[in-house]
Amino acid sequence: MQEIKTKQKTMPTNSIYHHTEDKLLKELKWIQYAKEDPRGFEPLYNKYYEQILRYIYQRIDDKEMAFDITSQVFLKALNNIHKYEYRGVPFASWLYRIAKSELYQSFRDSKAKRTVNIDTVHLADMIDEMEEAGTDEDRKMLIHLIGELNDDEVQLIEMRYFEKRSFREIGEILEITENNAKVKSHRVLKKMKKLFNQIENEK
Amino acid sequence: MKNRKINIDRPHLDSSEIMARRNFSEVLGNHAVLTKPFYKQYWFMGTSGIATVSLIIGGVVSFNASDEQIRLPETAAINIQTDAPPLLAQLVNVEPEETVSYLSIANEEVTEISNETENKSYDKKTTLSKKEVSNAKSKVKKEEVIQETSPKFAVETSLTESYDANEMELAPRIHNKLGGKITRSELLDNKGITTVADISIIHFEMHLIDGLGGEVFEAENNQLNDEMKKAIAKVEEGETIYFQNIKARIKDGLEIRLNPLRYVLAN
Repeated sequence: MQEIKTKQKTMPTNSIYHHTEDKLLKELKWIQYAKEDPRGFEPLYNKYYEQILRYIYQRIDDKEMAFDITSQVFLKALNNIHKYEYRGVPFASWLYRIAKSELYQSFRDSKAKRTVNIDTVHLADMIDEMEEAGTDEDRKMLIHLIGELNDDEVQLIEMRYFEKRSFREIGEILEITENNAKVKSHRVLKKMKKLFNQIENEK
Repeated sequence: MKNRKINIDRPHLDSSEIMARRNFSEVLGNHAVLTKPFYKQYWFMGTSGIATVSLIIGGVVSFNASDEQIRLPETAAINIQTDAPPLLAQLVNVEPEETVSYLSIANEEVTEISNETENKSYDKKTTLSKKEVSNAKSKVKKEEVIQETSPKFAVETSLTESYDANEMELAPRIHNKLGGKITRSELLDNKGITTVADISIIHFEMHLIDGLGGEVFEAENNQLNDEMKKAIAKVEEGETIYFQNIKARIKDGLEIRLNPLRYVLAN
């Protein structure tokens, strides 16, 4: 467990999300402009478009659908910008929450199918954290285990290991505390390790 | 396996492709389409709300006003041909309420006059005479007597009710005019104050009001006395002459009070 903590600290995270105080204040000015005039929303749109698109495309299979949902997310954000309240976190966290809601709406309407996109490179990192050998067989078993997890657990694994997000960022997107995000991620990893060992012992 | 698809090493989207498909004007265009229509805007809701409330209040006020007009048909009927003040027209009926109001009027007169007497600023031109004071006091006493003798009062009320149907017949007049403009010769008509009904007028007062104040003359029949005629001769054209406190005796010797008269001298 101690080893896992040490490795997590050194794991690279998404630097686009994290802002200095100056950047946050600058962003807040853009938000004020956008509240006064919809055309003022453009800098925010340009800044976060790619992030939001990648977040959505990570979770669905259809590229065109990903672009459509992204447009929908920004339209919704623009329509509700007057309701936005600054809470000391980047504007992106609000956009991610809208994106999450739009994605779930698409899954409910059967417009899109929930997809988990796994990069073998990232999978290797995960196996490494689970202190497993990293053979082809282990990788297959891990993919199988990800398929067995529930939606909340998959979401945590996706954000933490495939999108390389910090616990703070995960907490802000999921509207939980940083510590809670950390604890939950560890629990999922522990569960996977337990299942992994069970399957190996059965063999 | 849950209902989800797993892709391994799916090709990543190229940043240039993402940038190429970025289109803020499309989002802005859709935003304009989705913007609330005018009838959902706060200013429209507020304005229409205020207008609705104003209409309701206006409607209620106008309805009440028309209702008040409907409630006063007798007064309206009497006022068709005359400009007589409508206030005292209600006193024609000798009903319990009317007697009380008469009493209160008398009391008011007494109070007003006694105040003036106390202040010792009595002026014959501008106020009622001392004789009036004694008259008013005697009226009060008289009304008190009427109130005490309730059987007689009941008879009076029933008689008045019988006259309600022919109220116009009880309306006093001079030269067959119920009010309005009247010439000096018409006013000095030998017939004096008359009514259509067969009743005899036993008392009336003539009030002349000019810029300096008022003068009151009394007569104990329906004819204008010499004093009144002299005063009328001095009245200028356009001035108003009031005949008030007109009392008449009807069947069984009962006294009733008739409508006041108001004339404007024509020449």
